[in-house]
Amino acid sequence: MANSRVITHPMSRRQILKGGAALGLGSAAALSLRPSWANPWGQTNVYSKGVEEGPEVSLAIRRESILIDGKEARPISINGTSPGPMIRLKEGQDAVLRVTNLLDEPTSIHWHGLILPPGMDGVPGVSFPGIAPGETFTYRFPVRQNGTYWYHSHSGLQEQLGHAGPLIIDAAEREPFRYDREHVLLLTDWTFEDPMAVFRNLKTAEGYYNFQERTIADFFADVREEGFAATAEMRGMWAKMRMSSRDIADVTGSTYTYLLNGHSPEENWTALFQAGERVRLRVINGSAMSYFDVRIPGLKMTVVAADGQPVQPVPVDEFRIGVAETYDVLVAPEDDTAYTIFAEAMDRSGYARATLAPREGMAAEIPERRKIADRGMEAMGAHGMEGMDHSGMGGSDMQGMDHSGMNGSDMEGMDHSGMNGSDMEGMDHANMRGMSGEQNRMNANGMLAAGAAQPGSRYDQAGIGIDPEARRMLVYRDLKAFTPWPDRREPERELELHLTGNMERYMWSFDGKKFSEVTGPIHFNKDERLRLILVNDTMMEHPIHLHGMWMELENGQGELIPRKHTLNVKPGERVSALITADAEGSWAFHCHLLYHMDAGMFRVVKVS
Amino acid sequence: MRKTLLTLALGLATTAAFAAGEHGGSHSSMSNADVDRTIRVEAGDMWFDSEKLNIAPGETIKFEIVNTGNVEHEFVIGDAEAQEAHRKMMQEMGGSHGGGGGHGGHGGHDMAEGEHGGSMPSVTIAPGDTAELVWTAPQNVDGLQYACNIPGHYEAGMYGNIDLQG
Repeated sequence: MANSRVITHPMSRRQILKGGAALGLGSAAALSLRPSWANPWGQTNVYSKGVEEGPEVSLAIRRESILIDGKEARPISINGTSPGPMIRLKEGQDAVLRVTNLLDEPTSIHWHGLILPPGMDGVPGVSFPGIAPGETFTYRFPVRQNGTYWYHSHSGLQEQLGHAGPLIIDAAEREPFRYDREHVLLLTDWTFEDPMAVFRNLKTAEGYYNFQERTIADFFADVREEGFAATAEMRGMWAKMRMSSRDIADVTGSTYTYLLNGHSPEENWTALFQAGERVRLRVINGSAMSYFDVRIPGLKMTVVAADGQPVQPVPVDEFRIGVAETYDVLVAPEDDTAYTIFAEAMDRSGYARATLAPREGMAAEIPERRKIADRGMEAMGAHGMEGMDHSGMGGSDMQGMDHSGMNGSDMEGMDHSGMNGSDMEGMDHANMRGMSGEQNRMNANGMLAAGAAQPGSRYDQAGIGIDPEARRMLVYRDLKAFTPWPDRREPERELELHLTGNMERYMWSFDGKKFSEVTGPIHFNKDERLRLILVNDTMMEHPIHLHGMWMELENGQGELIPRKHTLNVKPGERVSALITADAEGSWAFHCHLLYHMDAGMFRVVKVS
Repeated sequence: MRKTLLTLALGLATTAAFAAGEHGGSHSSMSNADVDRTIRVEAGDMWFDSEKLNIAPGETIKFEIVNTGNVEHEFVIGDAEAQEAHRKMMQEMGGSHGGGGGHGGHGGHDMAEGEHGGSMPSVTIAPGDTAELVWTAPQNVDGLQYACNIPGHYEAGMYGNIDLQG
C-alpha cells in the first residue's frame, strides 16, 4: 500500500494543543446555528459557504447550547453546528483531517464507509486510543473512492448528541448519471434526554419507549377476526418471547424528534430547485436508532447509488433506509410547485420532513402516517397460514411446531424472527431451505456459488409495515452494480454469525456473547475470500457494519452484486456477503443501532 | 403504410420504422447514398455524449451509436409523450421485484413499437457494440427527443433533444 508510512506510527501525527490555541480552529461557521451545508440552493458548480473542503480540514468538537426544534438543547457541535459541517473531498486527494477535542471527555471521528488504513479508522480501542480532551488528532489517508458517506463519533453514546455529519467525495471520473443540482439530506434522531438515561431506561424497563402496546380492545378485535384460540395462542407466544408484537423500534418518537439537516418537521427545511432540473438527493441515515421510509409524493425517485457505490438506476416511489446506510436518488420535478420530502420512522411513531420547492416559504401536504405495523402479523404469517397446524404450540415451548402443512408458496411472507432461538431448538428448518426460489448452484468448494442469494434471505421484501402493493418500494434485490468487483474468486470458506439478543434484559450480541464476554477477535486470513453469513435470531432489524472492507451483498445478482458498508438484516433473515480480506489490521464490526452496539453487539475483526 | 428505413447493427438486424402519418415526414426508402450526414453518438452509463442535436427538417441522418458503457442501451427517437409511453411500458414489463435490473429478458427494440400510436425509430446496442440508425427528420415538428428507455436510464439522464428548427 502506497500509504504504509501513514499506518506505521499514527500516534506520531498527534499534536497536543492547549485549549486556547485550539479555539482558533473554529471557523466562521461557529456562530451559525444550522449546518452550513444545508444551503437551500444546494450545490451547483460551486460549494456553498461553510462547507469544509478538503484536502485539509480542521474540525473542533465542542458541547454547546444550540436550539433544536426551537428548544434549548446541549448537543455536541462540530465547528459550531450540530449535526456537523459537510466535509467535501475529492477522489485522489490525500486527506488531512485535524480533529480537536474541546469536550471534557475523549472523543473520536469514524469516517463511515471509507476504505483507509486501520490507524485512521477512528474507533477508540481498536484503531487508536481516541482523542483526549484538549488534544488534536490528525487523520491522514488517501481518498480512493467517491460518493455519499458520513462521519460520526465512535466514542460512547456521543453520536446520539449530534456528533455526526455528511462526508461527500467528488468522483475523479464521470459518474453514471447526470444532474443539475444536488442536496444532502441527513436524517438524525434527537432526544432532549441524556443518552445515558435513555440507555438506562432501555435496560431497566423493556418497552419503555413503546406506547403502542396492544390493548384489551385490540385483543377482542383479534378474537373477532382470528378466533379466540388463535389469538390467545399468538399472545401466549409473544409473552413467552418476552416481546411485544409492537416492538418495531426500541427507542421511538416518544422521546425522539426526527430531524432532517438538523431541522424538525415543523421547521420545514427547504431544498430549492428550478422546474425542469434534475436534482440529486444524497440521503444519509445518520440516526442513532431509527430506520426511515423515504418518499416524495408526486415524484418518482431513481436510485443511482447505495452506500456510495453506483448501482444501475432503479425508479422507485419509496425506499427504506437503515441506520448508517446512504442512498443517492435523482428526482426531476417538472412543475413549479412544492413537494414534501417525507421520511417516516419505520415504527410510525413520527417522521422527519422537508420541502423540495422552487421558492422559500412553500409547503406541500404532509402524507398521512401509516398505522403501526404489528410484528405478530408478519411473524406469524397471517397471510396464507391457513394450513399451519398450531396444535402443538400450546405446550411449554415450541418444539412441537409442525410446518408440514405449509404450502411453500405461502411461506414468502412468513417471518421466523418471532421465535426466540432458545425455545426453538426443536424446530425443523430442513424443509425451509430453498424456499427463496433461487437456484442453488454450488461451487467447487461445495458452497453456494458466489453472488447467489442465501435460502432464508428476503431480498425481494422491504420489510415490516410496508404494503408492497401500495407503491414501488426499493428492495435489496434491485441493487445491481455496473461491473463486477475486482476480486471474482469464489469464497474459500464461510463464516456464520448469529445476531442474538434478549430484549427484556436489553442484551444484544453476536452468537449469544456480548462483546465483554468474547475472548478474542474474529479472524480473517489476509487476502482470503470469504463468505460472511448473518442469521438474525432476533425480532428486530439490525444494520450490520463492517469497517475497513466492503461487503458484497449476495442478493442474487451474480457477478453484479452490489457492495455495501452496512447491511440491513431483517428479523429471522439469513443474508450473506462476500469479503476480500485485504485490509490488514483490526477493524470494528457491529450493529449500527447505537444502544445495541453499546449493549454488546460488537466484535473486532482481525485480518492477519 | 410504413416507410421502412435500413439499419444495420453489428450482428443485430434491426429495423427502424417511422410512422409518417404521425409526424408528417415525407421520405422514401433510401440507401446510404441518400444520407445527408452521419452523426456519431456515444452512449455511456447513463448518458449520451451530446445533450442536443441540431437537425434540419427533411435531413437524412445516419446515426452511429457506440455503446461505451457496461450495460445494454437503446437509442430511440420520438416526441416526449411517446418516449414516456414507451418508458412506462418497459417498466411494466420488467419492473417486478424479482426482475433485478428489470430489462434482462426482453428486447428493448420491440417495445418501441405499438400501443402509443405508431412506432419510433429505435435500436438496441450491447456494451461495446456500435449500431446504426438511418432516419429522416420530419417536417412541421417542433422538437423530438432521443432517449434510452430501459428502466431507470432515462431518469438517470440518458436522453437529449433534437432541435428541428434547422
